[in-house]
Amino acid sequence: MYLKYVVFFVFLITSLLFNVQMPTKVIDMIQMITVVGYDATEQDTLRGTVVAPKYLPQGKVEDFIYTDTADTVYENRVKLNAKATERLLSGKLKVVFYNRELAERGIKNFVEFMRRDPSIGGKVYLAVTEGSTLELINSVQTSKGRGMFFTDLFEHNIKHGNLPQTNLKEFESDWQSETTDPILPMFSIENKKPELQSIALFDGDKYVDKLPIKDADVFKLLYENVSDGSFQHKNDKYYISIENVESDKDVAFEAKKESGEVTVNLQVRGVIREFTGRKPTNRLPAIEKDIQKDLTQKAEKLIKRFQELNIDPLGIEGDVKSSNRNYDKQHFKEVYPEMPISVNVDARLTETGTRR
Amino acid sequence: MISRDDKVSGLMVFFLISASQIGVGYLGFQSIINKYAGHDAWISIIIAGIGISIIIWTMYQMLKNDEQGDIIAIHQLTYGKWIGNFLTLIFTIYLLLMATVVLRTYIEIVQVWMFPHLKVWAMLLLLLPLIYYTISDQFRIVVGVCFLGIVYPFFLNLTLFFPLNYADITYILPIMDHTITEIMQSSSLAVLNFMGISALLVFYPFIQESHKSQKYAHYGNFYTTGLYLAVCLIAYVFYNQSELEEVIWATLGLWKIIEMPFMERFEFFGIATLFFTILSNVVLFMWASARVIHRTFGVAHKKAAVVLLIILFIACVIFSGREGVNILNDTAGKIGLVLLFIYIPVLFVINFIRRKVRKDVS
Repeated sequence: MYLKYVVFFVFLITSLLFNVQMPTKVIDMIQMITVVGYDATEQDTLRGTVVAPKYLPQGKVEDFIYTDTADTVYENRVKLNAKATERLLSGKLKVVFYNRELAERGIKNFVEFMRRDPSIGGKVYLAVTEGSTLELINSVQTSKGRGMFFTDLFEHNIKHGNLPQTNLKEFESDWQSETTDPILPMFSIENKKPELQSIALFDGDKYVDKLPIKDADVFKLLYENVSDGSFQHKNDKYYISIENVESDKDVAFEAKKESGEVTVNLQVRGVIREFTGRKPTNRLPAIEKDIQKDLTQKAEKLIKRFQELNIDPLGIEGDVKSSNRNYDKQHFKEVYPEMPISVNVDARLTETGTRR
Repeated sequence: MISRDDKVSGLMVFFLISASQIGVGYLGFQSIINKYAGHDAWISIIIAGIGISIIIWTMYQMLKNDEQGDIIAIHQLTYGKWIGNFLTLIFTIYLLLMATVVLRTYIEIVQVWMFPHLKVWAMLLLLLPLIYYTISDQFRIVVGVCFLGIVYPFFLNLTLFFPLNYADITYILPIMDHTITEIMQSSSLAVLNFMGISALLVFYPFIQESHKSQKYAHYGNFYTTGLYLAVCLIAYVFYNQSELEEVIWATLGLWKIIEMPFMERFEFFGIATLFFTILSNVVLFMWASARVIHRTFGVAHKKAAVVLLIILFIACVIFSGREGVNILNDTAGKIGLVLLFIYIPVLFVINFIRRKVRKDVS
């Protein structure tokens, strides 16, 4: 009768004994990488830089920075481990930088390792840097650690600024889909400090062009539904700033003639925050008209530019594909650069702040 | 004869059917069923669900006629003792194979996502006593585990809202862009995730007023279909089709986007919770195969359970690596498809004729 208990305990003990040898990762004996930077070097190799924070007793963070060259990401990791006091692990990876030269060659081989690793999440921020990533990482002066510094910078710019939603998952989806080209934020060093300077436009996984971040407000409106954005409008008579912008985007496709016709309908609602003219309340319809004209012009110019570069960061092909049963990839690729794409903006100013 | 104490109420059929269906397939069927129908493959889930409902109806039509109504009785009545028992044996092997597939795939997931150095046999030594404890005694314990296997992981469904932030509806438009044939072909792949219902052929006599429980079986199947449909649709708007081609476990991949202040990787929690789903699956199949062996050959239920667990252990250890697990899954899928959609309707027809003939003779 007791046999089954004996068997049970024998099983339990053997199992535990043999699994006890499993390699462990004790938190005090590892370094969690938060930021990584990859630079192209002269040969076909890359320079990898990693940042691993160490938490000091006074609530401060000290960043350890290691850097070396290698052919692959994990070969690089071996060399870096040779320099680190504790083992480097990437479970807490938050930000990955690629320099422009590497991005021009294509970054797919340096994104792949993150998608394969189950310990790395989908919310890792990817970005391109104008100069060397090592310099950019070194230029940060912060007490909260470089990982937190960059994560916070990305987060508030995505939520309230001109930066569209971007992370590893978004990049992967856009790059893998045959219809959309990815975008990434781009950094540079300004006055010895890192600065979000522009949006990098990709063709597949290769960097092709950039768009200054201050002009990216229109891009963001075209790219996604904005929930809290802002934009500025200037003309000869007055300057105006619109805040709390909410927008809805809708792409309509009409199969006309050879290429078909695409209309992007934008609905924009916002509140006046800054106005250099007098009493906007009386002139709201006129101001709205000015803004509409301005936005339409800028948006159409932007789309024209994408067509000239033959890239599709706005995913117009995806919209065409999903609303057209006769969609033919080959045909679309041929006609895309010449396709008539018009933008229709409906701008509304809902409030004028606390003054008339 | 099964005593009244051993029987469970008809409502439990709902949990038994759902628990037997939802297994490891749930974690990654999205990238398998889209082979033919692409982004329309979610429609084939509905078709597969309806198909399974028809099979459940067929099973009930067969089972209703017999007091003892289970697969052994039906086989013996239809084919006579020898051939009948032989076919029953094949059915047992199939049940055992299903249990192996589920358990081995789950251990693979633990290896890939959590503990790469985990030893399969050492993990099995921990699980086997638990399985033995559940299947060696009354059927009620198995039912209890199945009940928990549905109720406890239910809250995981709430996590499916997180990926919706990254959803792009254009991935699944335009709807019905594929031909009916393609969608039907995909349905044949989707059916693999519903296969567990064959256990119904064994546990049927354990249900009080079993002939009245048919509606619960359909509800259970309906719940599974709904759950699969939701997970499938969410995965299809989260991933685009070319991305899905590379993903092995699409449902687990959805959790990669979840980040909580107190939990860096949600998968660890999710995989651990899913053990309840896996356990109910394995336990039900193992209990069913032990029961069949007991009924056919007269071996004591407990002894049969021990022998079957040893076979399960060996089978799980033999198949190793992604390739081995894949072979297991494919084989079980093909056999299951033949069993459910070819063998059971054929059996139904032969059984029907046989009964008519018997009646006329007597």
